Order: sequence, then C-alpha cells, then structure tokens
Amino acid sequence: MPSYLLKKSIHFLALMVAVTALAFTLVNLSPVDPVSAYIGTDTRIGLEQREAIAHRFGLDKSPVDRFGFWLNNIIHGNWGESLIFREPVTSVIGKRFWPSLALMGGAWFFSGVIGFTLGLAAGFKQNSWLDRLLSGYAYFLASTPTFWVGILLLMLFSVKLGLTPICCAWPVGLQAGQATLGQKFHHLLLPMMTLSIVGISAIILHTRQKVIDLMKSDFSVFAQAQGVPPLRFLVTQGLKHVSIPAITVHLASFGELFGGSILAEQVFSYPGLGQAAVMAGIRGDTPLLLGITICSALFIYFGNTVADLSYRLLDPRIKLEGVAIS
Amino acid sequence: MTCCRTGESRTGFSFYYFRHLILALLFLLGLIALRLFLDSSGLGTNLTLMEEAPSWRHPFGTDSLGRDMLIRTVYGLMVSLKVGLMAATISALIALTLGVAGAIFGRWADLAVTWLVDVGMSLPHLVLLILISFAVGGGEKGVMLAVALSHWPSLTRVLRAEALQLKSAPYVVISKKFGRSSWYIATRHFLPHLVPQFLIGLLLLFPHAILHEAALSFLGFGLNPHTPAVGILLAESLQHLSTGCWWLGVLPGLLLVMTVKMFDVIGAGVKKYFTPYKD
Amino acid sequence: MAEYLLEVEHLALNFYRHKGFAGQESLSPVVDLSLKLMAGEILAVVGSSGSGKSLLASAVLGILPGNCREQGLIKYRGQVLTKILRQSLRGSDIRLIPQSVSYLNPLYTIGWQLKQAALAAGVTPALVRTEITEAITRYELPESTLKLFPHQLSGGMARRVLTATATMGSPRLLIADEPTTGLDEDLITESLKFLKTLADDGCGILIITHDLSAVTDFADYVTVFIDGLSVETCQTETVVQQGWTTLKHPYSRALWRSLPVMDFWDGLPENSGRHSHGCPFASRCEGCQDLCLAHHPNISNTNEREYVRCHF
Repeated sequence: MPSYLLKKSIHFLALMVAVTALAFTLVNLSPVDPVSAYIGTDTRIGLEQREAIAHRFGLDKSPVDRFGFWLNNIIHGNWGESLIFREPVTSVIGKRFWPSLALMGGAWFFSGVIGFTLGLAAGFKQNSWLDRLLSGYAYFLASTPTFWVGILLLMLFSVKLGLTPICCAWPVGLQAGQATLGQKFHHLLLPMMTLSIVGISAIILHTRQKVIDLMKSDFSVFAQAQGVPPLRFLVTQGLKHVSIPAITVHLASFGELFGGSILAEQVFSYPGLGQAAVMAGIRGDTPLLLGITICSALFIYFGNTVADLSYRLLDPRIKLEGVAIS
Repeated sequence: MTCCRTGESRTGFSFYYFRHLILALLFLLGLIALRLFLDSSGLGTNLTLMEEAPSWRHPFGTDSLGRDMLIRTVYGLMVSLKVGLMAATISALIALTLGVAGAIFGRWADLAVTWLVDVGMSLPHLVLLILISFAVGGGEKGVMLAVALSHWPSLTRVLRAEALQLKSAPYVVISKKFGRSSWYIATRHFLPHLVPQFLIGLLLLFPHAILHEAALSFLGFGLNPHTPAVGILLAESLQHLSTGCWWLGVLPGLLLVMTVKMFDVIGAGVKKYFTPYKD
Repeated sequence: MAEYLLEVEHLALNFYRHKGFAGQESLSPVVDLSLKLMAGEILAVVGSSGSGKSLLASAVLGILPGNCREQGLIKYRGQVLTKILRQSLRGSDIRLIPQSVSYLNPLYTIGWQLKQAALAAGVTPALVRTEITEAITRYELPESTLKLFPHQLSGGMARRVLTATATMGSPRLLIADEPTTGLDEDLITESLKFLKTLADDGCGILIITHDLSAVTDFADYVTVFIDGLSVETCQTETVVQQGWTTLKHPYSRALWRSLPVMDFWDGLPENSGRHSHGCPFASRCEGCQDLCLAHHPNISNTNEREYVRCHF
C-alpha cells in the first residue's frame, strides 16, 4: 500500500505540472494582449504604465521563466487577480465554488441513484417495453446537447409553467448571503435537473449492460440451480457486482459533469465556476481562466483517484492481489 | 423434429441489418439537398414577417427580424457539420499517427504517447476546448482548431491498443527479423489493419465533434454573425424566451439532435459491418 | 417394478428467437432424449462437446431460458416434474455440481457460498455451521478455505468445494456437469471417487460428460448422446467385461473403440452437420442404408434399462 501511495503522488505531481504547463502555454499563445485586457477601455494609461504592468505580469521574461514564476506563485496561493472582477482569482473561485459544487454534487447524486435504479430495471427486464423505453431514452440523450435540454426545461418550467426562476442562483437583487436555503434550492432545481437528465443516460446504459452480463453469468445459473429466484439473486448477490463498476464509472465521469455544468450554468446564468470560465475565455481574463483550469483538473483527478481507490477497496479480487504485490 | 437454421450470414451486407444506416444516410442527403435548394433570401431580415409561428411557408417559424428559421437552421447546421467533420478528421489523423508511433517506435515513444493521452484527458473536455479556442484567438477558426486538437486522446488509446496487438503478431515479428524498417512495418503491416478501426473511430468522432462545435458556439466562442452556426441560433433563442417564441429554441435544437443521432447511427452501422462479432 | 429416481422420456428442447419483424428462428439442440436412473446408481450421459447435453441439467432443474420450449416427460420418484415441483426441489433434493469455479460468485468467500448452499438445501440456520464443518472435513479442506475467494482456489480445491456445495443437507439426485474437464488424471479420479461415495450413500448421480474413458470405471450405465438424440444406453460392466461388440449402435461402438485402452481405432467421424430427418449418424455410419437417411429410428429396448436407437 505505501508504494501505491508513493507512485500515485508522483504521478499526481507530474500530471499537474504537465497540465498547468499545457494550460499556461495555451493561454500565452493567445493573440489577446494581457496588458490591454487588463487595462480594458481605459485610455488614460500611458506607455510607461503599460510597461510597468507588463513587468508586474512578468511579460518581459522568457516563457519558461514566466511559467516557473507563475507556478511558484500558484503553489504559494497567489493565483493573481481576475481582470473581469478586479479581485483575487482565489476569492472569485472561492465564491463560485460552492454554487457549482451544489449543482454538480446534486446532479451527480441524483443521476447516479436514479440512473443506477433504472439501469437495474432495464437490464433485469431485458427486451421488455420498459427496457426499450429506457434504452431508447438513454441512446437519444447520449446525442443531445446539455444546453438544449436546459433551454427546453427553462421554456417549460420557468416560462410556460412559471414554477421555477428563470436565472441565477438566488433571487435577483439579493446578495448570496441574504438568500434563504429554500430560495437557493429553488434556483438550483432546474440546472440540476438539466445535468441529471443528461448524466443519467451513461449510467443507465452501463448498469443495464452489467446486469445483462451478470444474469448470464455462470454463477447466476448456479444460484438459480440452488433455488434462488432471479430477482432475489440480483438483490442479494448481484448488487455488489453491478454497483462496484457503476460507482467507478460514475466517479470517472467528473470531466463530463464539469463540462455539462459549464453549459447548464451558461443557460441559467448560474454564477458558478463554469460561467466564470466562459466569461474569462471570451473576455481574455487569463488568470481566472488558468485558475479555473487548475480547479477542473484537480476535480477530475479527485474523481479518478476515488474511483480507483473504491475499486480496490470494494472488489476482493483487486484488493487482495494488490496486497500480494506490494 | 426439425432443426432449421435460417440465420443469414452476418458478415454480408443485408438490408435488414443495415436499414438504420441507409435511413440515416438518406436523412443527411436530404439535409444537404435542403441546403442546396433552399432560397437564401429567407436569411435576410423581413420586418413584415416578425416572430411568426411555424406554418407551411415557414416550417420552423421566423425570428424577431423576420428571418426564416428553417433556412437559418439548415445553413447553421451546415456550418456546424463542416467544422465538426473537418475537426473530427484532423483529430482522427492525430490519433492514428500517435497510436502507430507509440506502438512501433519502442518503449519510450509508447510512454510518451500514453502520457500525452493522460494529460489530454485530465482536463474536462469543454475546458480544453475553451483554452484552445482562447489560444488561437477565437472565431470560427478557433472553434475548428479547438475541436480538432482536443478529440484525439480516446481514439489514440484504441488505436494504440490495436497497434500493440499487431506488434506481437507473428508476421510483424518475422518482418522485423528480416530487417524491415519501422517505416516499412508501419505502412505495410500496421496501416492496412488499422484502417477499419480508424474509419470506425472517425465516424464515431463525428457526433462528438459536432456536439462540441455546437456547445462552443453556444457559449459564444467563434461568433460569426453572417453565417451563424446552430449553437448561436440556440443562444439567441435564450434572449427571446419571454416572448413565447418556443420554436426558436425547440426546432433548431431538434434538427441538431437528429443530425447528430444520424451520424451516431452511421458510425454504429459501419462498426457492425466491419466487426459484426463485437457487441 | 422398481421406482426410478429420475426418468426422462423423449425430452425435446426447442429454442425460439425473434428475427426481423415477424419471423422466428428455432434451434433444437435436444430432439429426443430418454434415460432412467435409480437411487444409488451413477449414470453417465456421454456426448461430444456442443451436443446440447448440458441443457439436460437445466431441464431437470427447471432453469431453462425463457425462450426454450420443452416437450416430453421428466419424472422424479414416479412423479411428473412440474414447474412448481422443480422449483421446490432444486437446491434441496436435486443439486447441480457445476463444471468450474466460475459458477461460484467471485465477490463472496467460500464460507459464504457454502452457507448459501446449506440454506438453499433447507438446513436450519442453527445447524449451518456444523453442516459446513462436516463438509470441509469430509473433503479434507482446511478451515482457512472458508475465508478464501473463488479465484484463490487451486483446481483440486475448487473441485472439492464445488462437490461440497452440493452435499449440504440431504440431496437425493446430483447432476454433475462435466466433472472431469480441465483436471489432470489424479484429480479426475478423485473427483469421480467423491461421486461414487455419494452414490454409495444412496444418492442418484447423473454425470454429464464428453469423456467416456474417465467414467467407465465409475458409472453403472452409460447413455450415448449424439446430435440431440440418445442413441444407446448400456450397462458399463457388461461392455468392460465382454468387449465393445456387445454395444449395438455404431456410434457407441465408434466412441468406445476410440478409447486409448482398447484396440485403437481412428475412425471416429467428425460431426458433419445436422439432419432434419433420418438417423443423425447416417452420413458417418459404415452400415448406412437408404432407410437410415429417410427415417428417424425409434428406440428398441433390449431390456428394461438398456435400449438402442438403430434400424438394424
């Protein structure tokens, strides 16, 4: 186990350096001049001041030095100042992290639980009308853009039925701190539904296939031969088989979840990290874009690591072999 | 007492098994025909026809400037398709190069390729798209490059695995013992076997690329006011939500989803044709 | 008349599969299969791989897939086995000894699986513990086996565990599916000795196998199965003592003579596809005549237990 952790940490550090280097290179390739982006339309600033700003940004150094300088700052918690919000990137991210987390966490949980249950039903009743309906839904949703689902829900629930608010994470005109939990949940509902509806399809299809494979397995036949009815077999012995890979797959889908949240936040003008990333990308807010990029990479890495660990902890075949090796 | 086996050979082309594929192709051909034959004058503003609901004359209705939404959608879809197809092809070629290179140029090359794939996959796809789009300065070109340069990791993984399997195939081993160059082995032995995998991978990339193009243009990257991609139409529809013009958002989106689905079906059909034994 | 533990009369199994919009495909792996088994006996059903003989076990246990239609009659202790009866008997009276360790749930320990088998067999929860201890002592398995997972078992241990699952409680009929596959000679003998002991204790044992040579020393009767038909049942003792000429069906003779211990005969023909009518062996039979190609032969009984299905 210690060697496993060591290997994991080295891999983590190397990956993070590579990802930050990639992101840093990309934003530095941009023809958008960071100094102009910082100054904006303010015409009073002269050439000297521009040079001073460029120096402060480290633009007069070589790209490698700049990367080292920047990475050092990042590690020390200095993530720079957002050009759009005129406040430290860390504080922008800090404010927007919680709404995004609530959105993604809720969607992740609901799509997981509902998708898993529906997948169980579809796989157990393979080729029934229920299965056809659910698989059809899942296949259709697989080629449906998240933002379109968001638009449809918005049209139906907010415009037509007036059940849910049309935008934002709390009532317009209030500060985040002034809104009640109920209000926040009310605003969260539709974006979360959007993400869940799309996210559910992968987990339905995956679970369904696992159940079908499970019910065809030799040990399922043997359980039946011992007089265990199929449904009881699935519930008492099969859930472990289906849920372990489902948890792993669902944890490994953090990337799509984050991408989906960008789109959902854009549709609902929801003030989370995704919306900030879009603003930063369009308006050339390099520090903020880099900051969110790092966050998203950490988020995915976290998902993948927990997926890997849960697999090792839950599946005896892997756990025991792992111990035998180390 | 009889035992009949009427199942026809799965490897041959039969209309029954590939009827979805044929329908999908017909759908796409119809779309292209629409693009060619629809009168582009409907794209101009016409203030006498503002916000008309769908009708026979304007099946997708008109927008707030009186423009025909069907024509706008078809033109927009063509932009999305063009960008998506080009980008997917570039991505697939990158994947092929990396996959083969990883397999034939030894351990270090393979490590480098797997590492590249790992790095490429450690950012959310959409974040990578935004970064690349930002890097090349946005615009339609930005969207194209972003989609083209971000879709190779998963296909690289598939092709690398396939190439690694080929590497230990007896005829490749013998070829190597005969002193054939890496280049010879790559072009004569690897490519012919990887072509079906490559084609399937390419076709299955299309729907992804098109969807990502739509997502990026929806988010406002690559604004092109003259020939708006379908994502932009959908973004516009958000601004007209309260007017009750449901057709602005619903119908273009529906056509987009159907088009993407058709590419999906074509990909799955071709996959079934090449590898009938797989799933 | 003695009461048979298990009687299978003219069993036929048809699989249906939807094809296209309204079409249907059918496949008949078992066309006409008959056999009889008494308590305390071992009967081996011998047939080539893929001849559908494993479906016999599923049929007796009543766990055939939903798209399979069963015809014919299966009787257990004189009673016709109905769906409900099979349901109540499987796992308790009638047991399957599976082919390989893949029939054990890979995510649960051996101890857990033995417990499940015991509970399924109707052992009261209070007695499960003693029952398991007895079983592992009987098959000389160390106590630590109970904590292992299936993938950690060696081939020999797996065989013992699989046999042990079937002996919980008080079984009457054991169906051993391919008990010799993938084992070396010593383990094959050991595996079959376990079955012999169980038969001596009064169980009826049905062995389904492709390996005639392995079972001749242990089985009381052999039923030869080819392309969906049972073509001959004979007493092994007679054949072993008096030679292969006592066998009546040319396929049984061929099968028996390709045994390494007998005078070797390399003429066992390959399966050349199925016939919708006529004797399935006709195309490979030395004595094939027009009649054999045209008509499906019926069973003719030599005595109450032995029969042959041949026109000559």
